[in-house]
Amino acid sequence: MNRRRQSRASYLVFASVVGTLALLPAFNLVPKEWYAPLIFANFFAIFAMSWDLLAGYAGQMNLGHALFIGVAAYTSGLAGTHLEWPPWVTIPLGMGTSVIVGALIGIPAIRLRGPYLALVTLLALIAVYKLVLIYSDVTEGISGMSFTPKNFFPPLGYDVPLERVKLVTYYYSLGLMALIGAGLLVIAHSRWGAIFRAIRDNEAAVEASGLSPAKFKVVAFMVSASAAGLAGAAYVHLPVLAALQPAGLDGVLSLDLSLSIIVASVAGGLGTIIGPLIGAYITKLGQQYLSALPSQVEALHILEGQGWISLLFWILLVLLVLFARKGLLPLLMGDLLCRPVEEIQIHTGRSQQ
Amino acid sequence: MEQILLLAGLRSAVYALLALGFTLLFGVAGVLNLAHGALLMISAYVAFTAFTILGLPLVLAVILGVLATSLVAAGLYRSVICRVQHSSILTLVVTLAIALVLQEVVAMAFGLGAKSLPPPLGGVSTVAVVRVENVQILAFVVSWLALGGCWLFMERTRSGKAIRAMAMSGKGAALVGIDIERTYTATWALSGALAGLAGIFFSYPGGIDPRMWMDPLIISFAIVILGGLGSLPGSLLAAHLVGFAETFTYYAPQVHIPLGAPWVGVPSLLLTVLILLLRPQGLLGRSAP
Amino acid sequence: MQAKDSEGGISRRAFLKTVSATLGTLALAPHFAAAQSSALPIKIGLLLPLVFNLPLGVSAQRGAQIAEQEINESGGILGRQIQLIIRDDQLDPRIASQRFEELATTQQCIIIVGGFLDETVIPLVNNMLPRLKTPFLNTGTSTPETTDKVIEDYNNFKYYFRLMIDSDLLTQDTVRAAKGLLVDELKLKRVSLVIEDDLFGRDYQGFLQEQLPGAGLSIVSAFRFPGERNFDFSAGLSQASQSGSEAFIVSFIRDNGFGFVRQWYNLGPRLPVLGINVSGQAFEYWANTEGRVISHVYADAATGATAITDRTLPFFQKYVEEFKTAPAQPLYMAYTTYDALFVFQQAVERIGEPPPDPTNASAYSNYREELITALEETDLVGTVGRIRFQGKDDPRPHDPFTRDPASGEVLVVPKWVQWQKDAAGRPDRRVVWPPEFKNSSFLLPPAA
Repeated sequence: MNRRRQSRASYLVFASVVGTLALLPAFNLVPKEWYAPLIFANFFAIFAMSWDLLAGYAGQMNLGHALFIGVAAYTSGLAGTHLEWPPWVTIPLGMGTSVIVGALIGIPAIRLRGPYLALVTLLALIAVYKLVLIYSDVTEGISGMSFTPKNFFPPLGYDVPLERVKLVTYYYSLGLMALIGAGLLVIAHSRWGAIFRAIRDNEAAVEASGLSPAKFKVVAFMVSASAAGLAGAAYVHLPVLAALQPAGLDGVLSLDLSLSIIVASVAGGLGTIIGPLIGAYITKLGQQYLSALPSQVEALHILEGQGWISLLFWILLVLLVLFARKGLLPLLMGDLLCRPVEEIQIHTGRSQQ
Repeated sequence: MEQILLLAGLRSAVYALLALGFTLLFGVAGVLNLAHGALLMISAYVAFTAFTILGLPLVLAVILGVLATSLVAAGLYRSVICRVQHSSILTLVVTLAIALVLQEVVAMAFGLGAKSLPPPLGGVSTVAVVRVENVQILAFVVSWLALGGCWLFMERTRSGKAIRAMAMSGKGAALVGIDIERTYTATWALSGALAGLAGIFFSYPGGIDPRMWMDPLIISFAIVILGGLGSLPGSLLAAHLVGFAETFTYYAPQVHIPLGAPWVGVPSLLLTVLILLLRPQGLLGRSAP
Repeated sequence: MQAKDSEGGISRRAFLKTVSATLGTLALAPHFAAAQSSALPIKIGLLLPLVFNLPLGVSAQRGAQIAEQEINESGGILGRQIQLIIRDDQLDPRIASQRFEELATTQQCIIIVGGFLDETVIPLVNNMLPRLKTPFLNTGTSTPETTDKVIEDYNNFKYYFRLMIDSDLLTQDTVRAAKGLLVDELKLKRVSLVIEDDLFGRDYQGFLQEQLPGAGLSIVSAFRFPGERNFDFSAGLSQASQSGSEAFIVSFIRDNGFGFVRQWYNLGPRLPVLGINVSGQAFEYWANTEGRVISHVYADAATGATAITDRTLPFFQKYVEEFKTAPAQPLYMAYTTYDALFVFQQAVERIGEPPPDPTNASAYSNYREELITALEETDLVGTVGRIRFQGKDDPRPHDPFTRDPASGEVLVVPKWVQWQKDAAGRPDRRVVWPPEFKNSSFLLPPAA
């Protein structure tokens, strides 16, 4: 199958996912307790797609993707609460900071390969997390921050009824997802995307063709960080459940978030953008479905509040890596995604030696 | 200052023990085991269960803890890691996921709060005007004994030689008739046992809790990367450097330097990232990336 | 609370669930029987930290269940039975808000009781309360931030009530206790702080730094530690001894303080310890620290040792008889949550008619508004003291009065409880402050 058809199919799938999501509320297909999870799923999808561009396309394994999200979220949140800047200033500011951090992580990527790069991304995330805890007088440390209407974007006050707040926020987050997702798709199918893939597959060949792999690695980091950063900054200003947490499954600086992004992307199929998008919705909505079960099904009461959902996630990740490295979706749907999907085996350090 | 030096010396021995299992695995199998910290946790919790709930004598509980960790490590290798260790990235992802699995399992079984395992040796001694708990001295002695024992094992026994041969060249080792799979499993078991022993002593003075695996993991990283991946003497020196840096950071407020308790772990992180960026082969070690 | 905890683990939970399910069915039974008279039970939401069987949440749930049982056995509220809908906030702000919303909308609870961590309650109050307009009786937090909201924007935040005193008042009371016990009795001058780094701890430290000097105590060192994992306190201890400190003031909220207690006892200096330790109120704490907690003084809402009011001891007895697993004695949130249900009962009785059918949305929301007015007039002798909420124009609206502004009568104040040993060497918790409730004198830590 040629590249043009692949990319057309990707856009088609993407458009139909966005279209379906946009139509759900119109047909009253969303129960009211599902709005909040769907809103988060929209953001989670952005996180997963941006990770995929970096790891799936450019082959730069990032174990600490939450770093980009968290840095943007904290920059934006801190500027909002301490300097009282409005969200339309702090969100771009957060995104900008995230791009800078992306470049800072990308530069070592020029020298480091495979596991060592993955390590740097992981340690950088832990370091920033520790800094947030250390400067707790400013950042509120482990407690996280909470926000009030003046920090909201979209700006909705207490006078707006909850249903309306949710609907507006839903469309806002979906719009953001559609915008960033389309951007990432365009990049992935552009010349840059081709170069990213070439770097992943054979760096020497890229160099031989006169292009600088170093430059494009940093570019890949910055593009990925900008998408994740924009979403991360917007994420903390929502009028629905406006709280910023460093740790936990939804924590913006947590290992849990970084790894669940990987779970979603691997489940969906790496190096496709579309796969991680679908994987993100399935995992987030699955998580919501499962977490509501114990309070509804008498027999499952025993599971209430037992952290078993995270457990399922991590076990799923291990199983995926063991048995379905090409992703669950590609496994189930075969060639439907129109692209020979890549394994996560990117730079295998040792085998190159 | 003498306090910091003394405590750093005591602490570094445990750190060396902690890093030994980690570096051994890397040297032999080329595996960066992100579940190393979680292995520490297993031994601490097994010992806790055996002592507090089953009421076994503490020494037996500790031995059980170490054995259990060794078994879990070997089991992890046979069931999961052996399928992915050809790719270092997959190994990173899988071992990190395993660390989180263990964390959740422990949290589900024991709750999030810290537990404390009574020290095998109670009481307090005064060493050169510094008050230290006897368990810290015991940890120091046991760690050095374990390090020495491990060295003897590597130098003198057949299995130890096999492991060293593997570390030098996997193919070569296979050619001279070493059973690769068995040696890998043995290395994992040994690494687990070392982690288990370190886990017991790492649980003093603070206690054990499901998220305790992160700090020892960071510390082992720092030591192993500072000392050169897979280099044993390098690790020993690095353990003392990291031990001193961490202890100094922790006691810094007493010499009026604004660091202190919350900064613990940061020196290790910084050292690791700097070394990775500036001198990837480590201070003494063989080349890595 | 922890050691025994693990033994029971899941089975205890299963047992609890069966109990609550049975209670639930029991509560429903009259509903089926009397379906003709349309006497649906009054639904009350309970938002508690139950994740990983957190002892405080489990204890609060038991407190609420005892109240539910008592109310229903005595004929319910105005003839209507009550039914508890229990949700776990998982100590997570997002989940807490989601569950709160579910309780208020899907479950149509007329009122919601609970809320433990400042971190979960503040976002919930900030964003959910003004939109859901459901009365919230907070029984677990002490952040001043929520009450500040009631002051700033009464119309949007009047739904918030609290049965606890806030950290400002709690600090004032700490200072009063420190003055009484440390300064007046022991003639001490210098203290060290050991504070868990969370919202409460930072507030507490700030207020202590302002207020302690006024009581004649200077803070010579402060050790703040991130409370997300176990910790080594030896630096804090040696810092305190080097700076000539004579006592510790501590705060442990999520951290259970085992590490501190152990090292305080083993390494010293064994100075008097006073402060907040949520886990340290549990009866199991003695066994968990192997008795090392001896002589520590922690603030509590009430204890089984003293009859704060006529209701304290009967509640304590009932709890101890009914629940044999950890926490075997009620923790502070058990008392406040138990009281909260009676506060609600009194408010409904004051209105004079039970809540309308939730399907009639406007009547239902009108009733919630009426509840606010009725709650403001609360005057109830509970287990923790006599509960009267401050009015709109008082300094801390919708927080309880600590003392009667006119007569100075003690209403709701923290009780400072010391871990002691009785004659037989068994652990004993005795109130050493305030003088009104004191049943033992303050004992010094054992010599090293």
